[in-house]
Amino acid sequence: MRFWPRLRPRRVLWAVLPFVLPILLTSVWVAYVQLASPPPGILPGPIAVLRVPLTEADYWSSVSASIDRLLMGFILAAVTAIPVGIAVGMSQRVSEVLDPLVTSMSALSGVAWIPLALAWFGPGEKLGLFIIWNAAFFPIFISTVLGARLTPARYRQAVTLLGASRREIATSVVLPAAAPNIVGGLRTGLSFGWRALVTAELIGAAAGIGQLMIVAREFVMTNVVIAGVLTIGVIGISMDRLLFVPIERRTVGRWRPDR
Amino acid sequence: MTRRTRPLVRAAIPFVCLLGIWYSVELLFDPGRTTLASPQAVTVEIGELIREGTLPAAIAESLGRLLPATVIAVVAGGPTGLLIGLSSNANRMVEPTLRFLNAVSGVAWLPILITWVGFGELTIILIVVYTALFPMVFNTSVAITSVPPAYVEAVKTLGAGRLRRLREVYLPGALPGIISGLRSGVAYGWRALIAAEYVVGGGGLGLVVLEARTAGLVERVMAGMIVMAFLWLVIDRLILKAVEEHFTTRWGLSV
Repeated sequence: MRFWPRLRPRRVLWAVLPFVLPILLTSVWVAYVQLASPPPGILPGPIAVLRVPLTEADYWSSVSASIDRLLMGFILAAVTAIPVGIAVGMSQRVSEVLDPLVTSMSALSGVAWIPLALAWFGPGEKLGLFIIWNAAFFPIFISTVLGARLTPARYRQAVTLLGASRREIATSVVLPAAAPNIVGGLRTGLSFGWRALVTAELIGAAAGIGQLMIVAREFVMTNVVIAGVLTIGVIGISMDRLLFVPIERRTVGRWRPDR
Repeated sequence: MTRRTRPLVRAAIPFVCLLGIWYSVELLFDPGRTTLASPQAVTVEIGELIREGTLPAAIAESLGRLLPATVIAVVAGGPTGLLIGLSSNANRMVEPTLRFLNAVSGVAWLPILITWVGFGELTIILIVVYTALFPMVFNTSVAITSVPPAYVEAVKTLGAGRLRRLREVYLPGALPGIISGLRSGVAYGWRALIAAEYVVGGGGLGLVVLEARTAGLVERVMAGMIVMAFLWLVIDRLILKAVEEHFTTRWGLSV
């Protein structure tokens, strides 16, 4: 038995490939900073950026403010959108009638409401929550309605024959059948909510990572701005991975073995 | 009621209800002119904005950004998606990085782009391209990978070369997916456009609304929002949906 697994070129290539582009991009960045030495405030090196979480006093409080608000607004959106979506989706008629309204409202959702929300709530916590709720609601709602509508009528008929009430049908037939769609909607909703929140923060309507970036930009602390960009990506992707990959594996993965 | 007008009437029902709710909230609670404007005031305001020319100019400006950005996103994103859909190595190399960049979201780049490029047209267009690019790439690559391999093999046995396989199997097979990528790309780009116009402040519908908010003109804010929603409905239903239907029926595919 050999200790080292035999290196097969294809295997090695496969393992290495995902890192090629990040390494390439970072080297271009380092090379540019080293060779062109841009004036301070244009592009700091990676080290200066990576040190931001340690050196910048407001970094962690901004990050936690953003994440807290995102999770709260997102839960609020899920709790409102899923029941209403199920109710609407169970009726073909109602969902068809509502469709144009939902399309135009969803195009408007999130970011577009920031000015009106400013008039209603003023800058702060409430505005952030409202904007996330508003941005996340529609993707969740639309997918829930779709999932409910795609539930095979036979299932509902079968359970009705057994004497189930509408409520029971909603919770034990339509909801599970729509689950894969709902999970997809939640996923999109979270990423929409995150985007909208960042925008609200960039306008200075709520405290958080976006506000930290826009303030840092005014003080020409470009390393903080770039650290903010990377942080937004890391939070976005880890939220998605931590929350949804396990859920999706358990729902979509189990029920739709073809994907 | 004729068959043509019926869906229109039906589509109008929820809007009329919403209008009714809005009107009665305004009437019953009278939240004051700084919080909620009445439907009449907003209608008058839209008329005013059209008459003074602010609205047509802003719409032209916003659409003048959305259109070139969409074209760039399609031209850059389509082939990229094609490449990573066709080659699993390319997919393995590019996809994780693209996923990360997608998670960063266009608007997050605004502060740094403002530093690099300045408060201007280019910054806004770059953000919209960035945002529209990812749905385009991912949808195209998924559409390509879901073309049944049997079709490809069948044409291969008949002696079709790479180019022919691409042109006659992959592209037509993936077209509905590509078009739906375009549709969501434009939808995301539209949101990013408004966000960028808020933050950068370089004219367009976003700026009209944000300036109205700063001046405390709620009726103007709401007028702007209604125009945004209406404009999107027109873009999505009349243009994008028509394109989607055109291609899916033309190739004999149904979604």
